[in-house]
Order: sequence, then C-alpha cells, then structure tokens
Amino acid sequence: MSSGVELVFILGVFLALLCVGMTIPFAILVPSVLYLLTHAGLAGLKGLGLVSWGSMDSFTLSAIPLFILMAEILQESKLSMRVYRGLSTLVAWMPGGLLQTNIAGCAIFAAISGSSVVTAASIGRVALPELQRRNYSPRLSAGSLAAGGTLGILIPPSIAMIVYGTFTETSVAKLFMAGVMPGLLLTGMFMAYIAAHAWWRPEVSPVLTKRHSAQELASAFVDVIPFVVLIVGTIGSIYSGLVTPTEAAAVGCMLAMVIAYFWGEFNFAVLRHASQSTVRVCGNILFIIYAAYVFSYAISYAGVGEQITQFLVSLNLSQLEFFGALFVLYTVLGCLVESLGMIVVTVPLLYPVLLQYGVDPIWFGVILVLFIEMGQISPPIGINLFVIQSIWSGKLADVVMGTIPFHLIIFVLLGLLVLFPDIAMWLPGRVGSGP
Amino acid sequence: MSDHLEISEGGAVHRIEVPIAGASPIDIASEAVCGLFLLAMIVMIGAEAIARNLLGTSLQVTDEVGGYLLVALTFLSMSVAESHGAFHRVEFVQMRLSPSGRMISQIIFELVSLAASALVTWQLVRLALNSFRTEDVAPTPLATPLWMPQTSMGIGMALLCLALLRTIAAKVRYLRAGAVR
Repeated sequence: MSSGVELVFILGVFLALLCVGMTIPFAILVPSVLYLLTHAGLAGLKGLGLVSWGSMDSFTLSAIPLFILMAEILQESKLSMRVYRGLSTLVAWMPGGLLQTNIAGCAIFAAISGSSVVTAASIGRVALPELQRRNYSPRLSAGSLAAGGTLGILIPPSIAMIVYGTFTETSVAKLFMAGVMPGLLLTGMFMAYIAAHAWWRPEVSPVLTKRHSAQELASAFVDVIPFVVLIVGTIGSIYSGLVTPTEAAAVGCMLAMVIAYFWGEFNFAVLRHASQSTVRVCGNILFIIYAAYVFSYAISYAGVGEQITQFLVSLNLSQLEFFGALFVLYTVLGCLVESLGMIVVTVPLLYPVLLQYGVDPIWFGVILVLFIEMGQISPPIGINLFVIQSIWSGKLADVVMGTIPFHLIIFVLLGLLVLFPDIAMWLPGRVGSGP
Repeated sequence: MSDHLEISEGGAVHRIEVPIAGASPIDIASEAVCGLFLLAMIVMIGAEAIARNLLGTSLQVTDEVGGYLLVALTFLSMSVAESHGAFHRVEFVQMRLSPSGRMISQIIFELVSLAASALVTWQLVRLALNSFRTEDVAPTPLATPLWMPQTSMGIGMALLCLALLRTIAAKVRYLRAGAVR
C-alpha cells in the first residue's frame, strides 16, 4: 500500500468508527493500533510504551484537570447562579434583556472554564427556566445559550488551546492571550446582534421596566466581583508572566475554593463532588489526547505525515487558497467530528504544512478554535445543541434554528481575523517573558 | 428519532440509552486516588508559584512530579470514565438502529476496543518492566526510578480492560434479559 492509500485507510476507519458510534477515544486508538499492526505486525507496537510515556508525562497538560476542577468547584458551589443573578441586574437593561445576560454570563463563565459544555450547561441551567417563565423567544433563548457556551473555548483558559499548544509546542500563554481580543469581540458581536434583533422584533424579549435601586446594583456588583477577582488573578498572572498557565490553574483552584467558601456553598462534600466530576471528565478528555498521540505516532511510523506535507506543499496554493481549503475541511469536519477529536487528528498532519505556508501557529490556533466553535453548534453532532436541549423543554429544531445567526457571526469574525490578524496577535506580543 | 437525552456524570451527552456497568469498588478506589492526585497537584504547583514569586525560590521538583501525577491521573481515570459512561460518542447512526441492533453493535465496538486496549496494556507493562530491569532513573535531582510512575500506566490500562469487560457483560445481560428488541 502506498503512503497516501495508507493514510486514507486509517482516516477512513477513524471516520467510519466515529460515525457508526464507537466512543471517540477508541475511534482514534483502534485504527492507530490496527495501522501499526498491518504495517509492521506486533513489532510495530514496540514503540507504544515510550510514546505513551513521552507524550503524557507533560507538565503543560496538567493545566487541563486543574482548570476543569476550578470550574467544577464554582459550579458545585452554586456560584454560577450568583453571577447570573448579578449580571441580570447589571446587563438586562440593554435591548434583549436577559438574552444579553446569557451572553455576558457565558463570557464571564468562559473566563474561568475551559470548556464550552460546562459554560453552556452552567449558565443554561440557571437561565432557561427564567427565560421560559418570562416568555422570551425560545429560539433566541436556546440559540444564545448554545452559541454563548462556545465562548468557553475561545476566552482563556481554553482546554482546546492547551491541547493545540501541546501538540504544536506553541506557547499556551500566548495562545490564551491571542484568544482574549477575539473572545471579547465575539461577545460584543453576539450582544450587538441580540440588541438589534430585539429592537427590530420587540416581541422576542419582554421590555424590562423595573429600575434598580442603588442597593440592588451594589448587591449585583458583589455577586459578580468574585468572578472578576478570579479572572484577573488567573489570566492577569499569565499575562504579566508571573506564572505559567499550569501554575495559574493551580492558583485559580485555590482562589476558587476561597471564593466558593465566602460567596457560595463550599464544604468537603462540594469538593468531593467537584473532584469526582473532574476525574470523569478528565478520563474522557485525557484519553482522547493520549489516543491522538498514538494516532500521531502511527501516521509518522512510515513517514506518512512527511509525505502529506510534501504533497500539500507541492500543490503550490497561495496562502488564501490554502486557508480556503482548510475552511472547507473544518466546516465539513465540524459537522462530523467532536471538537477535541478534530484538533488532535488534524493538527499533527497539518501543522508542518502551516509552517511551510508561513502561517503563524498562534494565529492559526485562534482560527482553529473558531472552527471548533462552529462545529459545536452545527447539526448533527454539535454538542452544545444537545447540552441546551437536555436542560429545557423545547424542541431541538428550535435550538438549531436559534444558533444560525450566531453561526454567521462567527463566520464574520473568521473573516475579520483573516483580514486583520492583529485582532488576535496584538496581545500575545505583550505577554511577559514568564518563569 | 429518539427522544432520549441525558448528560452523563462525566459530561457526555447521550441521545440513546447506553447501559453502563457502574463503578466497581476498584473504580471507586481509582476515582478517590485520582482525586487525591488532583489535590496534590494543586498544593504542589500552587506552592511552586507562590514560592517563586514571593520567596524567590523554587521547589525544583514541581515539573517532574506534576508530570508523573498527570500520567497517573490520565490512565487511572480512564476506567472511571468507562464505568460511568462518560466517553463521548457520535450517535446519529446509532439512533437509527433498532434497539437490539444498537446493543449488538455496541458490544462489537467494546470487544474491538478491548482487543486494542489489551495490546496497549501489554506494551505499557513491558515498558515498566524494562525500566525496572535496566534501573532507569529520571535525569533530575530526584532521580526517580522510572518504573514507579510508569507502572501507573499499565495498571490504569489494565483497569480499563476490566471496565470494558464489565460493560460488555452488562450489555450482554441487557440483551439476554429481553430489555431490547
């Protein structure tokens, strides 16, 4: 078998297993092991031990369980409810009312959580009953929460960026900073869309006439301030170069416990439950990453990766044409492959090609995350669609229809990032040199 | 289209009913050990950040031990995730199968996964044994014998194989009991 056919075979088996319903880490691991066996028999497996050790003995990856635990502590101690309540006072005066609170809440929760699912579920659980009770448009309610949840992987900390940074040996601190401006811009664009929609079609959101007293406003600030302290503490310390992302995650966990103790409900049972949830989520995420390293080893075993690079470079595409091809690839993959699977399977293949085309890996990290965001709200497998569907009583079709405008907004941001890369690249250039 | 929809305890969203084995005492112990490793990571890495920035000193071992803890957490948490049905899967084809077809296909997937996991376990155990035999140590101030952290990989993968066997048994029982047609 030629290398090209071998690669098509391994990717074909991966996609087939994925589509017919094998669990994602095994859908990556099984074709990798199969490929090694078909290529070199049992001798092909001999390197697996060292690959496993070399790939997972990583201090950088340690940030993943810690950031997950930080978000779980805040979620278990009911602080997401408090931040939503505070924001509903501070933001709901804008056109769109509580729909604006959805986006602002997701943006703030995104800044302490590295996961879209956790962000969408945390804010969605608090927001949806309130939105339904007050007769907000079901489509816009569900759509804004599913799309708002995707901010979780763009605004740092981001598990997707840690994984991308580990696979490409790119600075995770710089990747985090590169996500800040696009994340804030996307939040602003989502909120502007909701305001324009509510102004154009007032029936989508009831007009809030209640004026808040100074005491209510002060109470709302108290609800939101702990999150601001945590965000400034973690992201600020990375930006200033005082700590690495992994250290920021550990310090963030400590801060989260202190904040949960004073502002929320924190005790041993909460810590135990948060740690149990973290272990179960990590079992899935870290296994996907591990399986991807085995996959990466399998495709490099016979030099297939190098040949793919040579083939793609020999096509002599312009940078824009190359980007257009990636755009099509990721849009299609986003509809078929789960987000983390999409990164870990494509990045080892594409990364060497990116360098040949002179694409900045930090900038591409942000672009990749935006592609994944779109995948997370694309049917038939967009996970955020199902997260929102699982916590409300409406139809899945409404969630899907509700996310379409937000999908288009993400497309617009992608275009802006291609035209003006400095939106992402300005902040990373100012990150402190770090420890 | 199935109207079943639930988020598992591990965060996976399931649109079909997926029988799970549930946590065995070994999985519960693994989960507790992983929880302790998480806390150890927080304390050690947090202490390193504080010591370096406030006291101008370093613990020197944080990167090394942090990596070992992550390796152990990765491999020991796999069986926990399997026993709680926390692995994500794409379900749009599964949703269109008959309940028995779905269960049979899942048993086949689990068997294939078990075969791959067993092969990986074999290699991970080989690595730890080789490190033990050759007395490999980490090139660090701690000079940790590498077989010690590497053993957690083999144990974790072996536990994943056991968890897969239990899942297969649970699905076969489900099928035999006539719970699906």
